Amino acid sequence: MNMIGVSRNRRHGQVLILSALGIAGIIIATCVYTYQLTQYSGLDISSSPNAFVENLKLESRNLITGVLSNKSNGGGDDLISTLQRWSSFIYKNHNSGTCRMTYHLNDENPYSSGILIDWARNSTGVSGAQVLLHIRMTSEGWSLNTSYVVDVTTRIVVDGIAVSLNDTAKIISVNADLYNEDNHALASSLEILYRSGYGWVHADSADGYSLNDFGNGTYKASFTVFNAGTIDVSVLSRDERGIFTMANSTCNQV
Amino acid sequence: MPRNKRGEIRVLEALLASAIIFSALLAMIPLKEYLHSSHDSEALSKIGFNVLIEADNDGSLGKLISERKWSIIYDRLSLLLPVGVAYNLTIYNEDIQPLGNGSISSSWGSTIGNNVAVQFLLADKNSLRLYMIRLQLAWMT
Repeated sequence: MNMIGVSRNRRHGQVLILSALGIAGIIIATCVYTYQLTQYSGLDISSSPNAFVENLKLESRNLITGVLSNKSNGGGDDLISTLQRWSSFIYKNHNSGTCRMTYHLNDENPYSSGILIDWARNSTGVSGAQVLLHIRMTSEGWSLNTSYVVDVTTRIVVDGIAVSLNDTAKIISVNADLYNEDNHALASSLEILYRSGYGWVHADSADGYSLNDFGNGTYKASFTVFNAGTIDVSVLSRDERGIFTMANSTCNQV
Repeated sequence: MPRNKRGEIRVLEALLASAIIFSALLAMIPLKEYLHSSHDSEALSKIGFNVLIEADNDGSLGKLISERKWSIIYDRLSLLLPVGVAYNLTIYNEDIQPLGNGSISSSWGSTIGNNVAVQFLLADKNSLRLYMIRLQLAWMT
């Protein structure tokens, strides 16, 4: 009986120690598992792929906007060489794996090498750029592919009305709406000219000139002209991104 | 075996078992510290990245860099970063040469623990120049 008692005591002790070891092992295993999970979850956000893609999206857009602004104002920078330089800069300075950005410029009419400048349409002027960008990132254990379109467009729509006051005088009302992509946008500068057979004249030198800015991308100007036939108006604008566009319109006689 | 002996042995066994479990818990403290500081680093990185995105959302940060307006950049970053975060900003040109006097910093000498570095590539839409920004962040004492 004593032998059985001793044996039971020993087993009781062994079970207790083994159980404690088991619990300790579970605790350590859980912590190691958690640690290993954090190793793969990309805690270093500075090299997080999604963060870097957001960085590239923003700055690619800024760069394309800059080229369009330059081009619309008569400058010589082109999209291809600028994007080539940007792509090379990204490749050299991405510090987590490799990152390659490739681009495809929209060459379908009315675009040419990614740029659209069309100020000859009746009542509408457009300055635009459209590029398809593809980003491929690879590192140990993962890769990321994403494509997106950068579309930068500034459009102005002009409408003119001529109302005869008497035999000689006419009041000209010009309405101009400025858009960035499909949204109304503010102009950083706006210039209105008119023509009645003698060449273009600044409207702000005409009698009774006034310009109303409605604060939402809509502008309305009015002025008086004398001894004029058919009146053409031209609105030259620059949006807050510096992109220039212009449109001409023949005033409707009322 | 006498009862008191059995009792002593049981107590010792229980103490040993407790010591094993307690040791396992103690051994996990450094890991817990690491995870906590990792969480801090993650938060700082997110802050730094979001601040740079916000600062250049309209392309104005690029223009300020091209025009070397360091005091305005300093003011803007100080405004965007939360209180208690120190920073050290270094800007490199396209040839990875540092611009200006080296770096723009705020309270960088009074920081504790780990600092994180956020790297951000930037294009100035006015001059079409390219820059690399390195923003180091740390919690202040």
